[in-house]
Amino acid sequence: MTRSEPAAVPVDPLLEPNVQRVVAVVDEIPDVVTLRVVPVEGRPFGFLPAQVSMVGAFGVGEAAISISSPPTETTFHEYTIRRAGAITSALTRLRPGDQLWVRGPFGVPWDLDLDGRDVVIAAGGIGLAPLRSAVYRVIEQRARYRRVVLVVGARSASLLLYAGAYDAWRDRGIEVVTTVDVADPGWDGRVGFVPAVVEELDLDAGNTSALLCGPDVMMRLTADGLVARGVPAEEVQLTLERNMQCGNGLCGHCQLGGLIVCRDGPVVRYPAVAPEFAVPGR
Amino acid sequence: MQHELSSPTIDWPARIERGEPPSLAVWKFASCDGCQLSLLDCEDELLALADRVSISYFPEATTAMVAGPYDVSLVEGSITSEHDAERIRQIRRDSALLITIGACATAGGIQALRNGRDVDGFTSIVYAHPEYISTLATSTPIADHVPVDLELRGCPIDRGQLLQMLASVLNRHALRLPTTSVCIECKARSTSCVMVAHGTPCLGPITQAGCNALCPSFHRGCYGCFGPMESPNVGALRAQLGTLGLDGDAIFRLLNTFNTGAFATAVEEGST
Amino acid sequence: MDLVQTDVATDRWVLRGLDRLIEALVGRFDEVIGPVVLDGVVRLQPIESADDLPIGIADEQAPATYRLRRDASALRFSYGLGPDSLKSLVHPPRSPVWTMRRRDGSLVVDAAHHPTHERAVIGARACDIDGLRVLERTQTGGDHADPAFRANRNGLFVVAVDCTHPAPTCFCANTGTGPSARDGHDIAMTELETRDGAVYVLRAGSERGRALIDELQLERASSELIRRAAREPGVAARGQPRSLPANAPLIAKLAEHPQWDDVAERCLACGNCTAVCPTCFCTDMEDVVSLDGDGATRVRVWDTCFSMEFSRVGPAPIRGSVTERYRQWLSHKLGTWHDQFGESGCVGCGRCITWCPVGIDLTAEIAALAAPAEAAR
Repeated sequence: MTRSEPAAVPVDPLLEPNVQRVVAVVDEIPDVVTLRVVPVEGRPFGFLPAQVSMVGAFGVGEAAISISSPPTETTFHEYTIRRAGAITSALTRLRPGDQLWVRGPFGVPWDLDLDGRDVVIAAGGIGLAPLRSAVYRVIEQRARYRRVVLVVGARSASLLLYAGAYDAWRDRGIEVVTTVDVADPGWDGRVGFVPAVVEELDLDAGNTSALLCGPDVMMRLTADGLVARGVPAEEVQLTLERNMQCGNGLCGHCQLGGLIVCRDGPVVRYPAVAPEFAVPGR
Repeated sequence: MQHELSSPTIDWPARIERGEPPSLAVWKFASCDGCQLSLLDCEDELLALADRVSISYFPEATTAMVAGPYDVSLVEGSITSEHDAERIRQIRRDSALLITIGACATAGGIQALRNGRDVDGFTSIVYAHPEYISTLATSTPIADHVPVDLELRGCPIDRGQLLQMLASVLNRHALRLPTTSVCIECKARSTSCVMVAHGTPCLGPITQAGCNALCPSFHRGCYGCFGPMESPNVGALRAQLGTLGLDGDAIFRLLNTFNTGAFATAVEEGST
Repeated sequence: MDLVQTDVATDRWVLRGLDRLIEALVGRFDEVIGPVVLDGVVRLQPIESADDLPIGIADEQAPATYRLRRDASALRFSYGLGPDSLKSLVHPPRSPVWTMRRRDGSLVVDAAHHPTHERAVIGARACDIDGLRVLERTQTGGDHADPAFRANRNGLFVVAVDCTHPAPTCFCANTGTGPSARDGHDIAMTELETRDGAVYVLRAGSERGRALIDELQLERASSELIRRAAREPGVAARGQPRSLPANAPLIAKLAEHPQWDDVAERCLACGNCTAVCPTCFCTDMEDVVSLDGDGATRVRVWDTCFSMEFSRVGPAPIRGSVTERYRQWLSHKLGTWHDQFGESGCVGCGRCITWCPVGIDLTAEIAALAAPAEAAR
């Protein structure tokens, strides 16, 4: 390929790769690491909780990853990545000093203007990653909200993401409830799936807002349970996972019915997606 | 939110992890050598790869015969004898990464036509002294015998795919190969559909892409060298081949060539 | 704006033969694309003179069938659509996005690739020009327009020809996208057969189209020719046997109906329909590393919602069955396209009917889906 002619087209950060350097790697749980990255030139772009970057590994490709660092942090971004396919295998292998590229930020963030309301945040598995920046934002502005409950579920205790941070979050006024599918010896938290644990929370339903992230079925069951108890469906936000490839609404992969998830999501309110969730294969 | 396309996650041999040249071995089982020749046919490109791999065993190309273990083994051919079956198990034990190449290795090849038929009868007709022949009743793909890390389809394999696969492995990732139909490649290269425009029988709609639609670009129907695509609707294509005037025997012959075993499996699974 | 002083809507010029027009286009553009008979099919190909265009060719199209035959006319556009829409010209099957190099552990990005060539296409049909507009809305209508698409589209000079010989597979009269070019062209022509051979009545669709007409110093068309030119496409439209019902957008979105399984029995999921569709825009990215390991190229390639990989999230595709994938295609094309882009994704060209290897006809599928589920077998 030749260099393009003198660019009449301005560089669009959502279309053009921005090279970044890994400055720290944290091993979280098995097969999951958090990369802290800084741009090789300039400063990180601003973002809002739940927004996504396309994160690229040299010669392999890009994967859509939520930005999980505090939105107030202006010197670096963090991405929590699970080793799954070729791209995330390449990304999770990176060490400090290595380079990657990002494009972003993409998508609709959580609506956190929930002043005076109780907030239930429910995460299944690695679903806590897109919620972590929201947790940071809520802690930073804790006085705006009434009760804040975070329910975190995982298959077992050793798979609870960011477990080392829960006590610090509790100290900042977040009720953290952990639950596992299978209890190892010595586990003293809850046992059961996230929807059931949310079901048992003592809630002021009419004044509750919820943020959900996890597998489709976990979000659907949790949302249905909340709505059945009187939480307004509009107050249930969830973040969708679909095959997101371009981020700009151009490639067509992430469609869910009439939604183009990278453009209209990832965060949507439950009524916008409930009919589609009811149909397998949509 | 985390999304990426699927491809196998692989534990890479230490030398590949360190960016050092891995040792490479090339093995032959029941086959015509055509896929190995595809590798030799990459002369110019092999120069670029020459200092990135260390060829330890490749009888077709060099006299080098370095004993195992090997970082990467390319395996051509199918398993047709007890001896083969034992040999592939040893190669698997000796190889960190095992890549099958070609329709014989990935589907049993055209010699899988014997499967389910009277092999003793064949041997008695073909050989003067059938008592010297030691053979299995079947020709089976390598993956029926040992775990396979990556596979390259085709009869023969596509040299571009082979080179890209090797380049990807050296970059520590598994190349994502297309699993869609040959039709996608015809349309992308502006080849007119031989079935719709000429009435030529073609297996393209049920065959996996990878050859860049070679035969249709020469006005021939696809022979199915790359085996079944991800969701081959053999029944629907068979009906259309009938509409084009092929009788049952002709359709049978079309489906039972280099990937007879794989298409037979697709028919059994009745996948749609 | 002073360039067009007369009324664009009513000014008509006449051209005998296409030599002068094509010469002018060849002189002005990097490449001129037009219909050419290749392997028994009318394809859009680079041309150098009017002699490259077909003459006296008729087509026969039906589900899964396309044949050409000779006829005695002197016409150059006396056939329906071939497999090529204008999509490839603005949204190619493969287009480089960027290259990257790795040097001493650092990644260096080459400037992204944006095409800059100027091309003309002659013989574009109204439905395809509308398809170009629909496609343009998907690729440039949002906040982050695809610069390559925009450059390709802006560089494309469109000479339309009114469709006087539509195939029985197409239904532009029903979708309101033809057979006469109304918008999006630079010059539009109506081809008429006269005692002196083929004659073209031209109208300008843009200032640059008008400028080219002026440069050719064409004579004005007679009122008789203008009347004939106005009549012919209407005659063509009346013969179209296929249509979509007004409630197609709702029907296409049906989640449950036995017809979805019925069509999945016949569908090959081969992706031919999406490839020939003038508006199917979905793309995938291919990242390729060089043999020396130090270069990487990213290429955008056409994708299809009929592939399993298309909807994969985690280990499994969301739309694993052909039932779900065909439903996604038709629901999107005729239904949810309205939610996303405010219009239908179908322009009535009928290519998906002709070029489906097993002849699945979306108008027939919609008709079957419109029947109550209980009535369907």
